[in-house]
Amino acid sequence: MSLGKKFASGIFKENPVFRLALGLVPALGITHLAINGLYIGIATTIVLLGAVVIKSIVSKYLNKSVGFFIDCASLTLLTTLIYRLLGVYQPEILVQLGIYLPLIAVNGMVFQRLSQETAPVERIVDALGMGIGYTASLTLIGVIREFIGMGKVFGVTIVKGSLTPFSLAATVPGGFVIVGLLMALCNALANRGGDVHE
Amino acid sequence: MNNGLNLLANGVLVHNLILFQGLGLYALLRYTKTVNTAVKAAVAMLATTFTACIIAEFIQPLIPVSFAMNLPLYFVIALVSGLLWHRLFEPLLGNNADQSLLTAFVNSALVGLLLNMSANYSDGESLLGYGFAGALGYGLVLIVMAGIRERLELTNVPKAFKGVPILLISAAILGFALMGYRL
Repeated sequence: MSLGKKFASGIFKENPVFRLALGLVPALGITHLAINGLYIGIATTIVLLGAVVIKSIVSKYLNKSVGFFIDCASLTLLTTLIYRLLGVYQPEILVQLGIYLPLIAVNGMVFQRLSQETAPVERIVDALGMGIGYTASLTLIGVIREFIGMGKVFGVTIVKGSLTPFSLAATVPGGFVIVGLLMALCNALANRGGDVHE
Repeated sequence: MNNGLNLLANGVLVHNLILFQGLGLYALLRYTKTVNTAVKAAVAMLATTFTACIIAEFIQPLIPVSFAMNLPLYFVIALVSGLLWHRLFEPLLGNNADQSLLTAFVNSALVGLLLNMSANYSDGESLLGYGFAGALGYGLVLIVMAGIRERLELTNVPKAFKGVPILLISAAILGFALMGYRL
């Protein structure tokens, strides 16, 4: 597969949220606001890219059996760095993201991409595509949930007057329904069934 | 007694890890194909969480760190307790080493539970109580969802909804049903 196709597959064909059902924790837990989805998506992309670069450099010198622990160490280090940086520059966002920001270190999508054994350049392109696909998915879920749940998009009021927002959409079970429906829509468009990712 | 019941209700129902915090979803999708697998995953989570809570209780007073530095500490605790139980449960869950280590032992539910505990509970009894209740609620949801999923296999679900979408929507209905306990 060419690098361009690999990059694009992470965004559409193998979208981590809607096609692979990976990294759903922030997709359901924190995307009641679109801005949260955008921030957590960008943070995850940075952590994934950093971890892939570290793995590409270090894997030449280390035994494969310690690969998992190297991944754990690099993910923890990068997530803590992001946490500290957000704490300095965007403390309000940090409070909103709560425990979901540190949980990037145990994100299933990040671990799954790190376990792939391909050439370093391919891995980096794949991580970038996946990261962009993940960020776009989380932002889309956030926009829909914020609009239905609060009548706003990125904090800007869209619906005014007598139309009452459906606040259940902003809860976690409401997120389950919206993500489930979006996945079904993707399956219908691709004419596929939504088998559980193995 | 009353405090203990509050803690149990909080962990199992009010702040259920899967339904109300959206944690541990990888395990929800992976280990609910049969009730049997779900029970094993629930026991694995309970054992790992209890071990992690005991380690956290001993370590927390010795290493007072800020919340920002809790992640490395709790990640190591989760990894150590996961490794302790990994050898015992690996043949039962039947996965390769890294996958089962990640999904059944060192998952977002365990690390999230530890981070929640550090933010909300400080004394030893509360730590253990909340840890036990959280893992119990997580296990119960896995088992209930496995039962629902086995039933869903027998029904005529539209092609686009098969698999993950219908599972998520079923989990949502279960969540809405339990939401009354949050009011």
